[in-house]
Amino acid sequence: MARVTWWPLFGITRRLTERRRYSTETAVKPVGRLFRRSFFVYPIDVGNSNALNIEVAALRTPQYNIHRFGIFFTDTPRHADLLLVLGRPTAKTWGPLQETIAQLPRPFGILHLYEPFPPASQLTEAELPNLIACVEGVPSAEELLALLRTASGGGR
Amino acid sequence: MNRLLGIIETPAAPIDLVQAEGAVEACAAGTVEVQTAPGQSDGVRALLADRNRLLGNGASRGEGVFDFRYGPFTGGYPEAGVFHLHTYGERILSVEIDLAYKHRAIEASMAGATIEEGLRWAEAVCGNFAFAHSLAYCRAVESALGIAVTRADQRLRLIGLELERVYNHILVKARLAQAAAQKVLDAHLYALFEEALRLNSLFSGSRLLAGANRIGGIASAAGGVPAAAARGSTAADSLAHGVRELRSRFSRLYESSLSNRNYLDRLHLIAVVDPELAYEYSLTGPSLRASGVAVDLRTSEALFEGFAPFTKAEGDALARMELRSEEALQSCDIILEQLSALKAEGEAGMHEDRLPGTAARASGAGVGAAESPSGTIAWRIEVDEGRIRSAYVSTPSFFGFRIFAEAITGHIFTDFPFALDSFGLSFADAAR
Repeated sequence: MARVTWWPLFGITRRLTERRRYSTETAVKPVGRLFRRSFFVYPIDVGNSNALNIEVAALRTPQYNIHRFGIFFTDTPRHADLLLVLGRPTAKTWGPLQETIAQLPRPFGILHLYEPFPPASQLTEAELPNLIACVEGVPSAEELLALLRTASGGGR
Repeated sequence: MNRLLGIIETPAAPIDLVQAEGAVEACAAGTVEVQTAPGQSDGVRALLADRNRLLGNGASRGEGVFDFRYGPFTGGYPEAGVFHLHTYGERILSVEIDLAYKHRAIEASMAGATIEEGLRWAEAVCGNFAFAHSLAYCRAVESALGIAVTRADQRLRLIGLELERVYNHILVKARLAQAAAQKVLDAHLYALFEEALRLNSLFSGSRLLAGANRIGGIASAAGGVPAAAARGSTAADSLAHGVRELRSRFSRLYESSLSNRNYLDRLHLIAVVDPELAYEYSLTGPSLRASGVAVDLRTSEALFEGFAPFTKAEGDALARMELRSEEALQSCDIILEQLSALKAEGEAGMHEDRLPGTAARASGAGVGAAESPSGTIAWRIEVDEGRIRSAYVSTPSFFGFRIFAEAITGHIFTDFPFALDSFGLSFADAAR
């Protein structure tokens, strides 16, 4: 195959973004209609096995192209509309997690994803304020996108 | 030369977990000679004595030197862990790494669990090495209890191991491209990463190959190739087609990326790993092979006929990136070979997903190992009447972080992501 020497043209003929309906059965309370076209998500790992981190990484792929739905990842809690908490907090991540929540601008939502193993009880709204959903399992990137779209108030 | 992978405290006498060239064995402490750092007080033995303390080369002092704390939650690194970078502003003088944020005490929690629950714990160590962990764990239990694995299941396990390598290597490359702001390369590599996850799902029903292994073979309950092979369906053909497509797209991207000087300059001569030091701290996997040492557990796999590991001489981030790319291509070839061997043999190796009744109550101790995408994963399991008495896991990221601290020292902040991502390490894996 020919070697590419000019990157801007590489693969431009191939459409990587997929057109699908992203819908979920999970009950998610939207953060607010305000965020339908601009929804900033700050994901943090508080002690998951990395499986959830990998699925979040997969959400950044061109196949999903989340920017077309107005969903963006941000690098700081101060710009975030949604805090995506990945995993069950370990003894040492509780403190930084509370501090991160304190840095979120209002209104905000928290979406908690955690792995089914090891089994433990669900976190409550007392522990995570403005909890919009608690999801057990490792959702695929496609399911994750559906969750985020619903959380942003779009996707219907 | 032998590498010390772990020191296991037992009620009787401590046991050393040692990797000779292609195999991992447990032996009484001190009976096998291992490489130690000459004249260094904190060689691998001291490192392994307490795996929960700060990992690195100490806290530098001097005029204006402070501790730049990076973590546990950052926009740049996806995992919860802390790097204490000792610096006076730009140059990194020394590094201490805190794994405690990800410590889940998995080995201790496994005591008393049944061997099947233990398998779920093993997968929970590190999600992106789930297959290598579960394979090493299953091999440890199989060796402890004398359970045989059919040839077809062994081949399916090798396919799973290589699928895991392909997606992890592509992710490492994508992160490097992202750090170098190579937007086009980055986007295409991430697209291939997603394709690789879908191939995993085609193989085992799980995008991260979770639940694919079971004690005594491969699980067919989740669907995918193992289940389909029993019914003579075409899942194996679709997988082969997908792997061929992925290989061709990846190979073209890799070739093209090598013509991009902007990109290569960011990796060239970054975080050079000295093979002597790598030996002393029991480094394994692609980071070691990129320093010219051809150690790979796959050389001793019975069904990998004619396998020869790749090596690179330079030992820098560029060599590690090139090596991982070439290994990803080699892994695609291995998957295709194993799939066609499986088809040719046509052996009905699929048994019920159930342990033989006697094994569920047997006792014994065993060691199992597998070559994960970042190096040797080894489990030692003691089983007492079907329940785990003690478990120990040696993970490649633990040694990798120690070497990373050594390799990044003397570099500046901008080199940090290239150095870190080129090692392909994971806090979950290192902290257990």
